[in-house]
Amino acid sequence: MLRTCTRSLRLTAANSARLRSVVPSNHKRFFSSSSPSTSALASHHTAHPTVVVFTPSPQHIEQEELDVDLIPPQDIKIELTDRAAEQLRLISAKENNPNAALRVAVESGGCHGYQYKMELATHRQPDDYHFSHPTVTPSNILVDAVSLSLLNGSTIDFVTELIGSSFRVLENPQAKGSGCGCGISWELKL
Amino acid sequence: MSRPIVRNLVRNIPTAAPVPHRSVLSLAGSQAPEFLNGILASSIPDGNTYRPMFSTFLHAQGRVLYDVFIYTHTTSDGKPSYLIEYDSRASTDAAAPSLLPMLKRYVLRSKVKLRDVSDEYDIWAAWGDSEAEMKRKWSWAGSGAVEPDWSGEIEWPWGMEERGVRDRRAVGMGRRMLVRKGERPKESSTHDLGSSDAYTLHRILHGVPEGVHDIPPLQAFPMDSNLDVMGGLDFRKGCYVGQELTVRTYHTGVVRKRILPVLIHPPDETPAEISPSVIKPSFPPSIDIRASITCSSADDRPTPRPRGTGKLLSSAQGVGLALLRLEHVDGASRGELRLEFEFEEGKEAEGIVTRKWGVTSWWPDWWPTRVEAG
Repeated sequence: MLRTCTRSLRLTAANSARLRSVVPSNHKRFFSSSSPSTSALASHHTAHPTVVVFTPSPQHIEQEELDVDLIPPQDIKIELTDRAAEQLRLISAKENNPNAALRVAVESGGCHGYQYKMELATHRQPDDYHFSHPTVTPSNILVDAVSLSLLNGSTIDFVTELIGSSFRVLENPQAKGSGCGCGISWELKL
Repeated sequence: MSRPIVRNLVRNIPTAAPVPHRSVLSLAGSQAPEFLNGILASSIPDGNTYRPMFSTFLHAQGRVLYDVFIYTHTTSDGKPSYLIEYDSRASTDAAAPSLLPMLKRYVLRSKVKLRDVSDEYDIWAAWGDSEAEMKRKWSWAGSGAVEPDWSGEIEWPWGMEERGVRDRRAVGMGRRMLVRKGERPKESSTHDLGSSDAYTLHRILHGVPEGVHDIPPLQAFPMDSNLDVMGGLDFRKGCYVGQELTVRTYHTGVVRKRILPVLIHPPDETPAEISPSVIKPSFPPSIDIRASITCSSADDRPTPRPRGTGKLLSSAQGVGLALLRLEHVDGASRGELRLEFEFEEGKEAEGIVTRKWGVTSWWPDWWPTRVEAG
């Protein structure tokens, strides 16, 4: 938090030399109206690899006849930014439910072929992977087995922009390029 | 305007002919309409109603993958399903995915089943049986894109039959149907039976591109390939694969190329003088067509060629379809330009000769006249 404040001040100081005489020197000015910890800064926000709380069993996958190859546990990698974990913690507190989770799924459609679908969930299904932030809890993420094969390696973030605040899936290694304008639809890298 | 020679080739008697080089996929399952709606460039009608249609699968960057016909079919256990008919030949672009694996990649958790049923069906087309069409209405965009306006029609424009579709890609194309392999369609009792070459000629004369030779996967653009005119794109649809570039071109771009039917003739002749007995070789698809300026300058300075090349696509019996720059088409119609291509003929042993051929395009009778957007 402190680091961000200093950066904003440095920018302000460099560009507003003319204003120094008008604005009192102890007056802190930020470029964004939302707090720096939640606003969508250009730099990469702090993220941590999640702890895998639960994985679906191969027996269940076979029983349900799901057409998916389970990823070996050591290859599973979903990262969660601190501000996304904090938002999830706030949601759990507001819902008064420590099991409240963000369900992230991949569906077909959208302008590039695949699209992310995010919704609030409360129940873990047997074919879900359950992730949590290592320190900020409760911060539950649920991803079904089929979606994980397309999401593995991504970072889940929570950003605040003029257009609104939302959870985002970023840096998906399986996605080609930058996807569509709204960040929801993406093309598979073959 | 139809040239006299061309009119000799047009069959106006009721004819049925098999359509060559097509494969069929079956798409069934409770979520089949929603699944298709997410990827297809046309809209599945409200309430996920099953209806036949002509449409397109686009690539994420907006280029065409496949032009397809969608048929409806009730399976033996009474459930509705789709049958998707497309060109089975491999495209020249190795990166172009084959349709079935591509669709399978999108299935994920959707409750759909996809399988190849090409060995169960043949495709037939029937035309010339005077299924008269009302004057077609069209809707133009500033960019030059144009789409059929179906608003005056009471019935679904593509027909309501199972395993059949009214071919509204052009006026006068007739009907298209899926027939059990080895059988003949019911039209065989009332129509002349033509060969698949007869169908290809019928479609070329109507200016209808079809399949991987006319619309090369991953290379062709939808409007350049007349898919807007043929009713294969829905410009009002929200999210589908390839939507961004398509809608942006529709609203803010300019359509600079179109596929037109062309007459192929010796370079120095003009179409009215051609005798139909000149034997022409069959040309492979994708030959470059170049424009050259007809009016020669007073001195012997070589005149520069106008930039841009067209492409000769499908051809048969001296006519073909070509992707041409509209500025070349206009120049040729004013007599300022000549469109030509070169083709190597003959075998190695006897000697290969490079011959020049001239190309004259014409706008199909039914092509809409441009009305300036009000």
